[in-house]
Amino acid sequence: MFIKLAALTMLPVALVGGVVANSSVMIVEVDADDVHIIVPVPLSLAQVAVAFAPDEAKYIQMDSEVGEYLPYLARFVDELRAIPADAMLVEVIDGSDHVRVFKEDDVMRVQVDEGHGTKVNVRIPLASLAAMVDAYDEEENMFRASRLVGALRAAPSGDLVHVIDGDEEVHIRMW
Amino acid sequence: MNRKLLSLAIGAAMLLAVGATAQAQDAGWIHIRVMEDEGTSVNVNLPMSLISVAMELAQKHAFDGDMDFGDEFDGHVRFGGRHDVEIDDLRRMWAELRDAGDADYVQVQGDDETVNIYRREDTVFIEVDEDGDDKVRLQVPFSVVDVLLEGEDNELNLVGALTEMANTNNGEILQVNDGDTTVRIWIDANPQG
Repeated sequence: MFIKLAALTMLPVALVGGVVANSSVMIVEVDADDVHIIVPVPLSLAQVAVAFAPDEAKYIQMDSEVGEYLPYLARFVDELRAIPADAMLVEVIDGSDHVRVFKEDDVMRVQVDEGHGTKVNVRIPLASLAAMVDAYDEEENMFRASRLVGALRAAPSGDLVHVIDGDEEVHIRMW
Repeated sequence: MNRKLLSLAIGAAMLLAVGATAQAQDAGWIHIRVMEDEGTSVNVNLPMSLISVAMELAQKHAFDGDMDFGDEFDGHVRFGGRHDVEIDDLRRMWAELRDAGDADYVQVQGDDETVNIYRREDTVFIEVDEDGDDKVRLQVPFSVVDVLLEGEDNELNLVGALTEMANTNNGEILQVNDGDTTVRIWIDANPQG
């Protein structure tokens, strides 16, 4: 009896564990002064949670103009995917400041190095951008939150955002 | 950087953005290089296909009726009625200038700036000299203006003009030297220029 009860109790835990094990996890890490926060977000779980969320959280209503711009974003993504995998699009060097926008495989990268310590490193997976466009419901003028989370799952593992500004550091990465 | 030079570079880049559309199918690249003596450099490489999409977006949303690219952008820009200069007037002026042969079109002598626009054979020269080392030198082949002004009513063939500019000068669109800063804009097939 105890074994059955234990098995029944552990079932949700096992299910959750299984989902997490098969899920991308987005890790948000903030390091500032005395504060150190790490928030791991299993994206599969987040998608499930959104399904049970109230409608305000489930759907993200947008201005009707957004729907007009998204097809262009989709085409931008297509064009960016078509250019060479190592294309350097913008590079600005101004004293110790260095800004670079370039493509690395299927990821657009933005690097800003201000020389005196501030550094910004952003990786934008083109697959995620494409999935984000797909998450938009044209008829209802809204994003479906679960599909936006799904768009993040299309991101390859590694850093998405890494900002170092003096003693403060923000790190968002996929794992 | 000299503001006038920067404005010129940005203006040229905007024109290029328009002009690039015509050559988008060639999968070419637009390159913009700005180099300053003190070490600052700007290096932009953009595929024309990307700019083509940007122009369609601008056509749809940005110009708000002030400039009309038509339902399908064909390289011609039609200006709205809010402009002081009528393109037809420019067309008539150019037709007269064209027949006049070599001539000095504009000479402005200011306290700290001189501007000269003149024609020698098949080229229009635009020269701006300011106090100090600031100099702008722009050579516009005659055929470029011809193509720019072809069309009807308040319509400019920007794409055709830039394509002609590139064709007549090995892809070179603009070069500006002002002593401290050089700006170069050109088109070629190489992603890195």
